[in-house]
Amino acid sequence: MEMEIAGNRDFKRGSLFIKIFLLMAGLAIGISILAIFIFTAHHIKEMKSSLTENCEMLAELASMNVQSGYFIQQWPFEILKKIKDIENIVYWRIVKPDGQIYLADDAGLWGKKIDDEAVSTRIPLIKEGIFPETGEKIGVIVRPLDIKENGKPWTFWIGYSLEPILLMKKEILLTGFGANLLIIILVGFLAFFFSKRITKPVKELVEGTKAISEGNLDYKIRTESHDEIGELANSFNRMACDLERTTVSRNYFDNIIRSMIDTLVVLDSEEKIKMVNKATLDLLHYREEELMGRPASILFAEGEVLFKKEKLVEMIEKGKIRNFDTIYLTSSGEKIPVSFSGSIMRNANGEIEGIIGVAKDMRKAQKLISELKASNLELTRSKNAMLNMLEDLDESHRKLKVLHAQLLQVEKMSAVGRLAAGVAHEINNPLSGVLGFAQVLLQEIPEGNAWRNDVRKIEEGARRCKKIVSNLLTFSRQEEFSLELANIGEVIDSTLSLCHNQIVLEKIRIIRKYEKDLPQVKVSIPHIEQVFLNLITNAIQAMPEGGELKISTRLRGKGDLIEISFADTGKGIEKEILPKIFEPFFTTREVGKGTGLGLSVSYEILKRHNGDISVESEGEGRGALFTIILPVEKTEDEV
Amino acid sequence: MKFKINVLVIDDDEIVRDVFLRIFQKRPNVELFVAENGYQGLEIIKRRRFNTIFLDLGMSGLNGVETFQRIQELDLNVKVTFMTASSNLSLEERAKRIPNVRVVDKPLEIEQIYKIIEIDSQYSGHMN
Repeated sequence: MEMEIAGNRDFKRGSLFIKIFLLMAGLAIGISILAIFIFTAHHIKEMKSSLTENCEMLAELASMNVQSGYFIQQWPFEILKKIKDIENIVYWRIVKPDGQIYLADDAGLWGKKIDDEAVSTRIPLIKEGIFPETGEKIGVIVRPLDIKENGKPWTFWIGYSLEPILLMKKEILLTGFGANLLIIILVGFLAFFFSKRITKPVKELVEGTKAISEGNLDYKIRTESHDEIGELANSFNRMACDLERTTVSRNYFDNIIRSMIDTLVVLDSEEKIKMVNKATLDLLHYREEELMGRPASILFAEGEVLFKKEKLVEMIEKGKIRNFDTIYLTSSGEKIPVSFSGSIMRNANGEIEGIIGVAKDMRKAQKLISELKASNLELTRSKNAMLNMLEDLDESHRKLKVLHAQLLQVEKMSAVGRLAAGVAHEINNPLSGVLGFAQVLLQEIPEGNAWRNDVRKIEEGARRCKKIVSNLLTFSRQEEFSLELANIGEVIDSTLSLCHNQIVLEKIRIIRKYEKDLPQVKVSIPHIEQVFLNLITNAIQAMPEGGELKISTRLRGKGDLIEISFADTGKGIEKEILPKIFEPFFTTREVGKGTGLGLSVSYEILKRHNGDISVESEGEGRGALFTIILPVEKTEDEV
Repeated sequence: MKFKINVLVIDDDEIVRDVFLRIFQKRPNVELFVAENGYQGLEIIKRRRFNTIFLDLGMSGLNGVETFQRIQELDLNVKVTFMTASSNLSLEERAKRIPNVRVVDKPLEIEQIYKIIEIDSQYSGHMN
């Protein structure tokens, strides 16, 4: 199909091919016709002149015979008769100067007058005319004779037919044209192929240009000739090559635009639709030709303000409009919510060339949004529930963390305990030797001897070892407890009496605030005493300049717990070490002054009573507060 | 001063026995016997009456409690003080449940030893 069209294009009026073809054919025909005419004219002229020459000679000969005949009064009839017989000779006449025919081949003409200026000629004349009898074209030679009448010469006329020449002319022309026709056909063919040869590369160039304009930048023109056209083709190919390198083909863009999922509309500067993509047509159910050149408002539902003047102005000023919610109208009048974005397209001079609009079908999105809103509500509800759960979880986590820490502590304690049990036997027996021998020596070394002091140091060291081992052993001695009901206030008081001397010595004021009628607790009294003693001793040591120790008891929780607190006004405890003070071997005292086990043993003892101990301190110099919790023993009828 | 106080120490650790020997080396009113295991101790008890016996709990062979049971068969009234190095808790528990015996932790204070001997000898009427 394409080929046919391309072929037909050659014969289109005004095409280069036709022009060249006609020019060449015309030229050939013109030249050949001209040649025929020139040839014919020349040939006829030759013939004519030779005929005329013959006739002139005949006329001269006849004239001489006539003159001599006149003078001897004997007309050369024989000769004259013969003249008439000569081919082409139409007539002969002897004419008097007054025009009267004296003698002629046709006796009927004798005495008749002819009205012709040539009758009085004094020089030979050649003229042409028509022979009236046959109507044929003739040449006439008029020759003055040496016969004079009143000084004027007679004339001898001889007429000869020009018909053979005309005939010949016709023949020649006919033959010439016949030959010419052949030549024309030949030349026509030649011209066709020649012009084809010239126009073929041009045509290819045209095809190439078309291909490139359609975006087919791969198109290459085959070049065979090395002339200007070949050069043109080469430079064309180079151009195409450059174009391919530097530009993205139109096809490619077309494809992109066509393949776009969102609708795309291009408007000209008068807001008329210049281009739409397939998505637009599909969305609005239009055919392309139904929209081309129509005002943009056809796309929008009635009352949509987008293409009213102020919106356009706004768009032009800003250069673009983004995600404008508007409504498209389909060909059947259905309204489609879209999100419209548009921008102004300007040419190189900054003049507005048009508007490019992209619209996204928002039906699905809107549905989604409403669904989203619903699920968002649900989500908010779940979130709140979750937050509550999270809070609970956080709380449990915190508890768990505390529990974990406690568990870790217990683990640590029992590990230390197991270790202690293992080594206790091995240490206590040799320690018996060290302590025993030291004490025996002390009894025997007299007062004042320098050794006494040394041995006392040994004794002291052995005692400390004993205490350390005994403290360590507390961790592993769960079965040891013998629990009995006790009034906690009494236990505190008995402990205080144990260190009465120290309290007085260190100028400590004891303030007791016991809640009345506290229920009894079931405890291992010596162990609880040990705990209290630990706390009191610590408090005393924290107040080397004297101070106040406030010991209070009260019921806590739902009446199932007893709280005992020891608040001193001593140097306090640094915040950083607060979490560590219940760990075994942790001590703030200088090496040798404390075992570092007092508080950890207390902790362990209380844990085994299902109680607890905690510490608070505002920091150095602000005192410390130890709080002990012990569970209240259920009354006997409950057990 | 006529009557001597008879004291027996049964302990498998030599250093413990040595301490006791050293303590009472220069105290003529106390007659000290030492045994390095339960059997030896029982042999001695068979031949002599003691005011008080210091008996190590954690001994190899016969342990303290087993030894005590056999002592009871020989002399029901003898005062016994268990010495423990706190290495065997169940044994210690058993010892503590026995009435009229003491359980003391090692190492013993010298004053503690004097006190125990003084009390036990008074009780049995041997101390003056």
